[in-house]
Amino acid sequence: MKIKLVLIALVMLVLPTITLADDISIDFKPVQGQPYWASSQINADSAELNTLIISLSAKENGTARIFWVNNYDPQFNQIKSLWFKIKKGDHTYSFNIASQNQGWIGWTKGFILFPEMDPAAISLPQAKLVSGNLLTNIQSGWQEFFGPYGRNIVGYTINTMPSPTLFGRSIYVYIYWLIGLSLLLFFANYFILLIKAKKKKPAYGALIKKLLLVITCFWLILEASTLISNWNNLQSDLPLIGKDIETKRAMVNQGDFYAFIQFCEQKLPVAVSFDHRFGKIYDDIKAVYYLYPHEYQKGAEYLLVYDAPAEKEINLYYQPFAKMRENAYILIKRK
Amino acid sequence: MLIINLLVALLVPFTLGTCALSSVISRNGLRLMEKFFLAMLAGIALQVILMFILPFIKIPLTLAYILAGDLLVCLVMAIFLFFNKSFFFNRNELSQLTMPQGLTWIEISLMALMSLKFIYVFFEALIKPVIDIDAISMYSVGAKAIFIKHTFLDSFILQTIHDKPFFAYLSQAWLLISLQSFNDCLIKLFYPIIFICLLGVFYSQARRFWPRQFSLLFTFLLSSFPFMVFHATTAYVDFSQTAYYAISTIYLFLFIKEIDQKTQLTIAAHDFFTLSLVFLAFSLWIKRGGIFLAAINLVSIIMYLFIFKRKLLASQLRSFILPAGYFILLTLPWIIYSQASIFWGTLGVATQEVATQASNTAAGSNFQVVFSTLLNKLFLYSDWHLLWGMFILATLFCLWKKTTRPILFLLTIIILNIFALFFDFSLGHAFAYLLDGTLLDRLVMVSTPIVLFYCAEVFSPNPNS
Repeated sequence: MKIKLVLIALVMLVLPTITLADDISIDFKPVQGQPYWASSQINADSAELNTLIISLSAKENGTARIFWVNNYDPQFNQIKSLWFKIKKGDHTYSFNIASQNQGWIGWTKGFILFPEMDPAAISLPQAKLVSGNLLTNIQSGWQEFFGPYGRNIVGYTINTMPSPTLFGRSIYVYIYWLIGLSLLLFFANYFILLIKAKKKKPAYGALIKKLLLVITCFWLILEASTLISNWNNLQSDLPLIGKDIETKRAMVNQGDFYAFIQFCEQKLPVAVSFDHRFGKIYDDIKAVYYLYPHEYQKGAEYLLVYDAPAEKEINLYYQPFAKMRENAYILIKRK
Repeated sequence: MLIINLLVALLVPFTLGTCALSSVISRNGLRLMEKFFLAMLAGIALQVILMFILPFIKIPLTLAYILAGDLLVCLVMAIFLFFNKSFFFNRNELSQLTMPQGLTWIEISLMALMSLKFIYVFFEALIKPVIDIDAISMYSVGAKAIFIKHTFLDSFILQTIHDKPFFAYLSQAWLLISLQSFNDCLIKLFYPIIFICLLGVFYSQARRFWPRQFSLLFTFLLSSFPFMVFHATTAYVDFSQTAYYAISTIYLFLFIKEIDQKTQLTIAAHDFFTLSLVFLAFSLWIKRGGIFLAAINLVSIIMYLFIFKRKLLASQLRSFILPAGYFILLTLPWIIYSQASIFWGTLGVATQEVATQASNTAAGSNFQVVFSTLLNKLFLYSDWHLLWGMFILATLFCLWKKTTRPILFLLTIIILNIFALFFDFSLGHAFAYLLDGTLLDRLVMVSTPIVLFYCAEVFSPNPNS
């Protein structure tokens, strides 16, 4: 009987989605020459449609961001974005965006899906905007808590690690409330005992012990969640086992960047300096690191070009020296 | 061959550290495990100082020359130890080395969880090459250049190092030199080792006063901060700074605790004071911010001694001067080289900015922004687990039931550390790093082991501890 009642309650909660919502299907398409996917233009009331459901297939684990624009702010920016984990294989992700981001207001006009991994590893994402229900909310909360917040470092320079969140709030907000309530109960008990016991005072140590126990329990729950992240990181680094150092360097750099570095090491004469044009952020820093004792010098005799936007003036001063592939080559100064 | 090189890379600093600590610490004051980890940490730092001095006397940084330097230093100290008969490790301790008996299932679980963390930190640090951008752009490229050029007195390397202390550059360079190859996986070997050493020393410090289970619990909590664990797998300097500074500060607290009840300076108190100043000196070699941290500890202890222990200070001045001498000796090469100018430069800029901003209303708004960001980061939106919430509870309990002078001393240092963040961020260019979220967590990390030890002290089961 009880099970039936629970099932009925669940159906009642799920029912509004089925009956009331006008789901909006969203077609994501890769943008030519850009590492992201963009949706077609839509016009969705964010107050009614609060949940985005995306189905996508990924060849590797990674993270991605979803950006959106609305009638108040037509720019894609980080304030109006969600950060989430992508798991290898075919998976469906639910986001109750309204609960996670205050920028979910007004009329939503479109989305961008920006994978923070090789975009080629993701295939055709399908998505729809729906009015969320209990099940999608649970799924959204679950994904949010086990998402990148509290597990991944923000950016490349190891500067911060945000706390895990649940429905847009730090998980600590919920835990502080629970600890606060426990503390109230312990204190109430302590003072009742203090009033009752005229001769013998209740043990202060017992109060501390209980409090420490509560803190430790919550800490262990948080640590369990961290251990899961550790395990995921460990798994993604397992392919590096048994590889030689050169292969490892190639694996931790994107695309054929390290192959280009090896190509430069091979082609550059001994003890010459180089200038560079790199298309991606930080590739210049990595090149200085890998190619030392060749030193970087602005306007040097050799110019390394790797996936950089074309510069017509370069040809005035430099001529081809060695080529690895299209957009990855070494130039030498014209005499 | 790699195994032999790795042994050289680890055993040489360990031997150096053992000899050095044997010369300044009594043989009976510390636990065996504590000595082992302290020797390793001291050895790494001393190896850096030795490698810093060699190029100035025209000795190239090659394996043979560095080993000769190590041998010479160890021989001098060995002669001293032979006559003094006070070797750090004694035979009885080593022969009594056994597995801990009567472990409860809670203790076994805590140890198992910590072991998982050790495995994770070692694996993540050593399985992949350096990929973190600041490490690549500064420390590891500098280490690689030192390995290739056999000196740091080279324009490219000096430009890379700029005004930063040498710990990361030279410790990583030592690993490359001893391995005789540019292996940028093993270049990070010292960081997981420092992680284990920090936990080992923290446990030993805790175990001095508290039961095994309680000490293990807090050591486990220390091992669980995701941000710190992450840093222990990278080639950055923040985690090393955290370890050396925290060890120094906790020993300073133990020293205060030891002298609080007694009129005489015990051997243990002398050892704690020495270790505190020696590790504080090492922390100056790691990060420029070490100047402020060292100033906090030094000013706090000097004021404490002058206010509460003037008689003890007067009667046993020699016992205080000797550790202070070690501190000066260890920091002198760096102070002569550059720290003095950085220190006065930093102080000059800071004073100027305070003067400018005192008449500027923006200073007040900076303060508000710093305050709200700090509260947000500490309690809600950075991943310090429940540390700072526990700190607030501990402070309330401390004020209610457990206000002792040593605890208040530790609390003062923590508050001064937090205040130093305000000082850093309210002034000048660092304010921008607060707004873009790039610096605060790393600076806060330095205080976390100290805050945890403070909480353990307040919540400790023995009320007389």
